[in-house]
Amino acid sequence: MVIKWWKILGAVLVLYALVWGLLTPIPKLAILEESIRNLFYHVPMWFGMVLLLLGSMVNAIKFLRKGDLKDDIKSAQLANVGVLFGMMGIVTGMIWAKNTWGAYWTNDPKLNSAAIGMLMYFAYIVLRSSIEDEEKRARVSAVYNIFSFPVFVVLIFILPRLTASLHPGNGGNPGFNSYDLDSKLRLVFYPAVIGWTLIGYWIADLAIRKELIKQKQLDHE
Amino acid sequence: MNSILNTMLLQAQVATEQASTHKFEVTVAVITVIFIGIVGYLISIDRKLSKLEKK
Repeated sequence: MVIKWWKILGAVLVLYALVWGLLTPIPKLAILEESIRNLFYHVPMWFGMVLLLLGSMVNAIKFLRKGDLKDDIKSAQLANVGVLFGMMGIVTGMIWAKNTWGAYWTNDPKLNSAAIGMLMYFAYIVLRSSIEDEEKRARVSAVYNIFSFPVFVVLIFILPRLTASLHPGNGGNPGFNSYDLDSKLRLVFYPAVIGWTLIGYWIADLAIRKELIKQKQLDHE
Repeated sequence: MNSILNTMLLQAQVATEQASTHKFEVTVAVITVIFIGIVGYLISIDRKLSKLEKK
């Protein structure tokens, strides 16, 4: 009945990042101004998403090796929460873009790559719901998952760096680490990434356990 | 010269005071309450699931 320590750690880290992200001194920059604080809210969504989708792929590999349907459930629920984080990342990014770049969406390589990546995972969810047979669904979606993740990583982290991009940290555009001379930003940013990732795993953990109980009930009937 | 410096100093003081007393802490408190509420809800679902798992 005890709540696992890493869940509480995640909650404490996120609370710290939420509050200290508003209060911490920031570098004074034109255009960005106070919106640089979005670094503590928008960016951890993407980092958390990547770490959740990585967990999803690891469980897909596990399933293909051992054939345990529990691993399939874990893989699917981690992907669901990852997609949720990704959508939060897209929407918060759009608000930020409107107020700094002047438009909700630009045909920037970083943005289009992120959109394609999200569509790949929407396809994963549709693929899963379209196969009735459990074993078959687990196998097909595990293979799809294992191909999706590396492509997604290339799309959002590698390709945008090879061309010009508005997005910080891409295509000759400096990342925020270059403004963070005294590491005040890092002191909030890293806890935010770890905290949100743990919260994401917590939500996935709840969904996984719910699915396992449902599975057990179905087996009893 | 001295009076210009004095006015600048005064302006700087007023600016810092305004920045720190715009009831910013109220928003911080509200965000804290919302997040604690959500975590509390997660904990309650977690406990209920633990009970179901024991059955």
